Amino acid sequence: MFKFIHIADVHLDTHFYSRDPELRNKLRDSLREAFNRVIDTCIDEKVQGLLIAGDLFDNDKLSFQTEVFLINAFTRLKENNIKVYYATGNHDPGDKNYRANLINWPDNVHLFNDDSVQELEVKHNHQIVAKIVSVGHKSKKEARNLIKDLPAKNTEIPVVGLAHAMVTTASGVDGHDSYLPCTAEDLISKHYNYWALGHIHQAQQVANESIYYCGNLQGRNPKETGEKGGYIVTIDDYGNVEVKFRRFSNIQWNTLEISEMESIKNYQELKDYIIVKIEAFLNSKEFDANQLILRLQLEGRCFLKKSMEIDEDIKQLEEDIKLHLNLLSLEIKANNLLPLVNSRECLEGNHVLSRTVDLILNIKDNQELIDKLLEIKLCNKKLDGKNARLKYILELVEGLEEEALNRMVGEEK
Amino acid sequence: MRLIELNINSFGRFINETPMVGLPNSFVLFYGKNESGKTTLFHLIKSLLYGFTPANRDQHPYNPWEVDKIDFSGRLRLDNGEEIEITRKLLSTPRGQLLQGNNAIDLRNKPLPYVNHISTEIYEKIYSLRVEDLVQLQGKGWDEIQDKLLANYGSHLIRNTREVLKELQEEANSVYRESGRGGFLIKKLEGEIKSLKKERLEAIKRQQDIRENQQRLEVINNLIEEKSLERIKLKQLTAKVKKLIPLKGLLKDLEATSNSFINKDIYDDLPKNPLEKRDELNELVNQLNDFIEDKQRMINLKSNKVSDVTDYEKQILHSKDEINEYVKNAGRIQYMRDSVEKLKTEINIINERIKYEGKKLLNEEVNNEILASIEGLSLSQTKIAYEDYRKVKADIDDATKSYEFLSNQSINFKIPSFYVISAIAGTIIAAVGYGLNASIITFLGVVIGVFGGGGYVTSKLLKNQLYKQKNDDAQIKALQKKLEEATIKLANAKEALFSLFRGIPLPEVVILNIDEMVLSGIIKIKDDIYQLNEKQKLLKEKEGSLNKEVEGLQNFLNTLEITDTNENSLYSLKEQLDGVQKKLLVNDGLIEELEALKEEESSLNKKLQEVLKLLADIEEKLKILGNGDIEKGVEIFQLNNKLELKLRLIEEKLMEWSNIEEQKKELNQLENNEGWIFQDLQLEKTELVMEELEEKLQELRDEKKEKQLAIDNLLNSITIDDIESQLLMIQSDYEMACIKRDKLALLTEIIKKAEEEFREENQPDVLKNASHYFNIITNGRYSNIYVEETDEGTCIMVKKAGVLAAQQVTESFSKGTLNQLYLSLRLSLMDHLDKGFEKLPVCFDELFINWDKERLENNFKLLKEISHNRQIFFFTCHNWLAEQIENTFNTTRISL
Repeated sequence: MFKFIHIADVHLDTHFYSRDPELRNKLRDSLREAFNRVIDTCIDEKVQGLLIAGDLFDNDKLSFQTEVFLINAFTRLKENNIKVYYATGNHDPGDKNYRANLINWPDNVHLFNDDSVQELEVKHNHQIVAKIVSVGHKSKKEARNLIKDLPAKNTEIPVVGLAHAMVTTASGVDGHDSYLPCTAEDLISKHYNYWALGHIHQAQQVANESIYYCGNLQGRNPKETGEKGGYIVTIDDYGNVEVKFRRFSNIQWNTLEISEMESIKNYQELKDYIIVKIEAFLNSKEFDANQLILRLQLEGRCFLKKSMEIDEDIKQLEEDIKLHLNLLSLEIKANNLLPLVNSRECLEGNHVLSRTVDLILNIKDNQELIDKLLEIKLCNKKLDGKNARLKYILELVEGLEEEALNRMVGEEK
Repeated sequence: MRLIELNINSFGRFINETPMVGLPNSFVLFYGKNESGKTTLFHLIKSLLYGFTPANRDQHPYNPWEVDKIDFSGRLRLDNGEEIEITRKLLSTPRGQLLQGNNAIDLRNKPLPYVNHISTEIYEKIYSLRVEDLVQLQGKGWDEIQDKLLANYGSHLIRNTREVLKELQEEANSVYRESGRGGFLIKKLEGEIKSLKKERLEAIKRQQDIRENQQRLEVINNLIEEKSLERIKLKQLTAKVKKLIPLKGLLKDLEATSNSFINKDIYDDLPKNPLEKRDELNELVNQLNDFIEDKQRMINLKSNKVSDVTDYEKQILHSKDEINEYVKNAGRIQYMRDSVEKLKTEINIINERIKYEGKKLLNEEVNNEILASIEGLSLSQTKIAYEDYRKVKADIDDATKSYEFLSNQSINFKIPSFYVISAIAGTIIAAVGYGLNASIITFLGVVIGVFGGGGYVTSKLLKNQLYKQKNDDAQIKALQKKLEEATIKLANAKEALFSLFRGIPLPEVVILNIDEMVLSGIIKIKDDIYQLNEKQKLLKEKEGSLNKEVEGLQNFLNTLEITDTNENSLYSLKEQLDGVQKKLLVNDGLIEELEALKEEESSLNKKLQEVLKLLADIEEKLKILGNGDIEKGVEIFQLNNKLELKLRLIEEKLMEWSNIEEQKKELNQLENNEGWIFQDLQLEKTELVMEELEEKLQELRDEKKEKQLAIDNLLNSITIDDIESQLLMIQSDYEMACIKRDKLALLTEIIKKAEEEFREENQPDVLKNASHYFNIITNGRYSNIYVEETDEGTCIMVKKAGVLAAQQVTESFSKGTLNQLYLSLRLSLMDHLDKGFEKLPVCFDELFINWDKERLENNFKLLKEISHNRQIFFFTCHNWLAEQIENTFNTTRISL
């Protein structure tokens, strides 16, 4: 039996998205606490290994504090006879310019920090219980599909693949650069018992196979929402794999969409309505409110839209609700709110608005329009290729009918 | 539809007007001067079709103040020839009714169902043309056609597409411009990002500077600490040295003086004043010799006073304890003798009393046998035996009495005769009473009779019972037998009683009738006998003890060969013992004194020897000091003595130093460890080094301050973390801005596309028709109207007949041509809007007053064509125009 914990994208010494220095400090502490929790869990669960699928560090700089912190943590694992298997990623490649590569790690730490394929035997009580096959990032822009170079499984012993790679079919890939790209098929073709991947910050199983991204250890910005942690994986002697997600970070980012505010006429009603919605949200997920960084996305038509365009009013609302619910942080986004108009009435008849909405709703069937839109010089310069542009355009067009309605319908007289 | 009849009760200036019936089908001409009500009529037509706006009587501009209500009706012929009648009133609420055949429909303030395809707004804008509406073609006029009237189809909520596009464009440009010109959000954010990245580099540099400064600061701190420590050490050293210099001088003096002594050991062993000491010792020797002689004399004197002790005295002394014990017991022996005598007297008294009591009981002298019998008599047994005897005797007496009673008993029971008499007398009385019929007598007789009869019967029964008892003989026999047995028992009881008194000469009669007196006499004798026995037993014991004591004393006296063994011998012996003891006590005192004297003598002798030894020792040492010469030895002694005085003075000075041992230790350490040689030059050099150290320290402190200030300044600047967070936020804003701009650009493009499609779908029809009208109105001069999209917007193009290239319509075109073009477009639009629905009437208000004759004629040609499908209303105040219309269209004016 091989039991291990799979984590990735720890991004130690990373910077957090917040204007509040106090909150940033809390997040920094939370990340370290989460990492310590990983170490504690390794010891408590009596695992044989800790697998780190890249991006343990955020950049080439490394504080002395973090160096000491890590060495202490890994030494604790050594004292408990637990090995560390660490494959480098695009944020912490094996380049000697990265100070992390110059650390004298304890001898229980094994690094896969270049593009050479390595196979390691995992021994327990003098018996080989598993093999780990891995390849690391040598430079910070590893664009090759190194997975293809990894050998297919040819033994009865459980094999675990470890890599910081981007499976192009995984969800949430858009927010990540395409480093060490591969397809799910590339991974499946190796017939490994488990693939421990890193790079995508959203925990997920890929292609319904034994291929897992564990996500990052601590959400860093409003996009990295929900529980953050790693997987406790057990592969028995017959190759059966049991995967359990374990939350390691206390502080969570989350986004709550609130709509149906047409009938709300004053501040108190709005505040009460939002509080009720947040309370229901907190209860449904059993959140610890004071560990939650919540972003409220207000949607739909709202009588108070005009007030919600005033920064001071939004700040007031944020402060009141935060205080009332004892939230760690609250950000209210009201930019998507729409004025209170009768959209049905406006869309009736034959006119440019109804035609515009029709075009938006049926864009996918309108190649001519798509081609026209593809000709637009977009502001987003990160899009690489026609397909990326098309995907981006279709995403933006989705829901644009509301914007059209908002723009083309005047105030009710 | 065409308006064929109008009946105005009140609307604006029109009150109770004559009904206008038979209005022309094609052209209706209203003629009147200014303010005659031409515009009022147009609004009335509009209100007839669409209802009142505003729907409030107080606010409606055409509500006549005289009647305060609006009331009118009209008759219309629909395009299919059907006629309908409409009545509209604006009272407190708007009212309306449509009569269509036999149907009456309540309209309230709603438009006619036949005009729903055109909004009020469009009707007002398109179907009512004034001269100024034809002044401009492009700009407002064209926009209205394009956007409000055509594209939005009359929905008042939907904004002008052009305005929307313009706004979107402006907003998109405020976010991003491809050209990069001007200020826009993305540019600003990129600038901020660039600036932050620059700041980040600076912050990294600052961090490096901070680290370097901190490292230098650490070095400075260490140096300061090191130099301060060094300075403190030197300061402490010089202070210590300055403090220890006098000590060092004293110690040096001490050492020199100590080294000047001659034969120091011998000197130290000598007393401080050896010559005086020697004389003193000689005197002491003489005194001691005198003391010793005195002591010897005293010893002799005391020795002669000690007495001798004889063997007999020693024997007495040896028996001292026994003698004292016997003397102490002499009183007890006498007491024992007295007790014996007393007991003997008591025994005699008891003997006499027994004899007296015995004689009193038995009437004779009692002897020992009798007394023994009395002593052996058991009183309890006697009482039991006597009770048995008395009981048997009582039983015999009872049985004898019963027997005698039964034997002598005769029954003589007679039934009283008065019972019989009473019975007979009662019967008679009753019979008499019955005969006399005297109930009381009868009753009395019955009572007496019953009494007598009852008593007789009862007595008879009692008598029979008694006789039955007398006849029982077995009872007598049983009594006889019991009597015999009791007699035997009595004899036995008597015998038992006598046997108890055997040996006691008491008469039988006394024994058989023993009473309390006899018994108390016996008891008294028995008690005395018992007491006698007890006393005799005690006497025997006491006599035994007395004899034993007396025998012990005699034996003891015999051991001392004293034959006379009475108590007086013992007392004499005691006196002898006291004498011997006294003698011994005196001897002991003398011996003790002698021993003390001998000890004193010995001690004096010992002391004499010691003094002699000391004397010899002093002389010997003085000799050694003086190398065999005592006098010289004395001189050397005195020299050493002076040195010693000096030493003492130095030591006294040293004593003034506190913790002298510590100071000496410090001194040694300074000399041995620090190599300090206690020279002024060395001290000066040290002070110089200290000054240099102080200067160095000040330099370091200044540098420290400088570095600290630099670090504080650097720390006060924005941190990398702040910059990175700001970067994240701005990058997020940047992404959001990109998305926003791209969304705006996409929406702009989609709206443009929608508008284009809309136009493509609607404009060809309108433009084709308009081209036709334009051709007519220009008398074939222009053949086509086009619309082209240019960078500046939509442009109208016209094409002259026979010319290939189209011309863009601009302000340079003649006013008349522009009027013709615009009218053509308007009329074409009306056709387009009414297509498939009722054709609504059109109103021209002074529209043609500026047109030249040719154009007017051409225009009339067009209107004639249009009037085939649509009723046309003219409003004019110009007679020439009215006449021309009347002539051209064969109609008659309605003067207002």
